Amino acid sequence: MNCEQIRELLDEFPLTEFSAQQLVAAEKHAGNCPECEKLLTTEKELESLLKKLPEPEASADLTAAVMTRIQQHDEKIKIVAQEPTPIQTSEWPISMVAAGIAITFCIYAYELFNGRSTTFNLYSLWTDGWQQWLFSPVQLNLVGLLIAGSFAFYLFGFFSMLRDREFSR
Amino acid sequence: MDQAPSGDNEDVRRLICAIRNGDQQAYSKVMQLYQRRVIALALMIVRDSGGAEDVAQDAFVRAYTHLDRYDEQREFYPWLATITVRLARNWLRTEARTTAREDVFVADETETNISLDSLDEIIADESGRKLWHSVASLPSGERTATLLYYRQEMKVVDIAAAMDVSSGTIKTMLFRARQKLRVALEEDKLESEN
Ligand SMILES: [Zn+2]
Repeated sequence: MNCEQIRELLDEFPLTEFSAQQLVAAEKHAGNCPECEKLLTTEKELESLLKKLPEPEASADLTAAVMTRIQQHDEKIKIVAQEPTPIQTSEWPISMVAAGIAITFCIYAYELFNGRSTTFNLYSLWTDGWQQWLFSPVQLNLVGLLIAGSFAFYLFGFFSMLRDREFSR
Repeated sequence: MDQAPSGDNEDVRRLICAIRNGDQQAYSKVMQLYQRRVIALALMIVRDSGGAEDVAQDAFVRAYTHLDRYDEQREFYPWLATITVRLARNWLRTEARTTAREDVFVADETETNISLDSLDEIIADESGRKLWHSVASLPSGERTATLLYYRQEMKVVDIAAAMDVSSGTIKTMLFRARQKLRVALEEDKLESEN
């Protein structure tokens, strides 16, 4: 190793990053070269001094202050965690049930008004049996379909509500 | 610089595990292990005793509240140092804004005229004060990198991550700092010879 190489190495790396071989070679050269010897000595001195760079005393208040602040932080989190979370139900299944009931009610009211209460004639269901009731021409009219539709509508809504309740647990 | 900077890695891992299981008091032990290093780092960057205290306090609080982001596979101190460096840099920026002093890590040649004498009482070790002054007089990037590398024995890559610059930049900063400190050391020797 020559003077140039040692200078380049020292510019590039601190001594602590020299490989064992580089260090040995540098020392060997420095043995015959006062310039480089001085360079290496200064570098060693500097690096050992920096290793012992003084640190300030930690004040006793620091721990106390931090512990108080983290206690406050944790308490805040606890309060948030303790608050009961409202059951998360989406609005639309409830609206569907309401809409289904409303439609059924309207149809029923319309039927009554027009003297055609046969559509929802539950009495015939009891006297004639369900097959008779279901397949009677009156039941298969448009209004019957509407009722069936709205019934499905709010059944679907009701089950969605149940499912939502399941998820929010 | 292969070995870990301190032998307390096992302790820290155990303590952090305890904290994660709800043992808040374990954190005061973590603080005991690191508070001097954190304060030294904060003071070296902000060069103001009150500011260093504030930064150190905020750094410890933030480390606690963000503990879920700490990766246990890695060393604790570089993570804590990263938080400290960022908060200290913010402090410097706010300070620069209020006192119209330019101060960021990269270009900061204008901020050398700060008086460091007020900090003498904090550095109890009289013999080391001169060196501390020399390091603290460096631009903020150089003094931060120097402290982290030589005194706190952090790896160049970790310092780069903490300071949000490339490893190459850290190497350049360390090189420049060494050049200046070498001169200071020589001058010091001449002074004591005369
Ligand atoms: Zn030579």
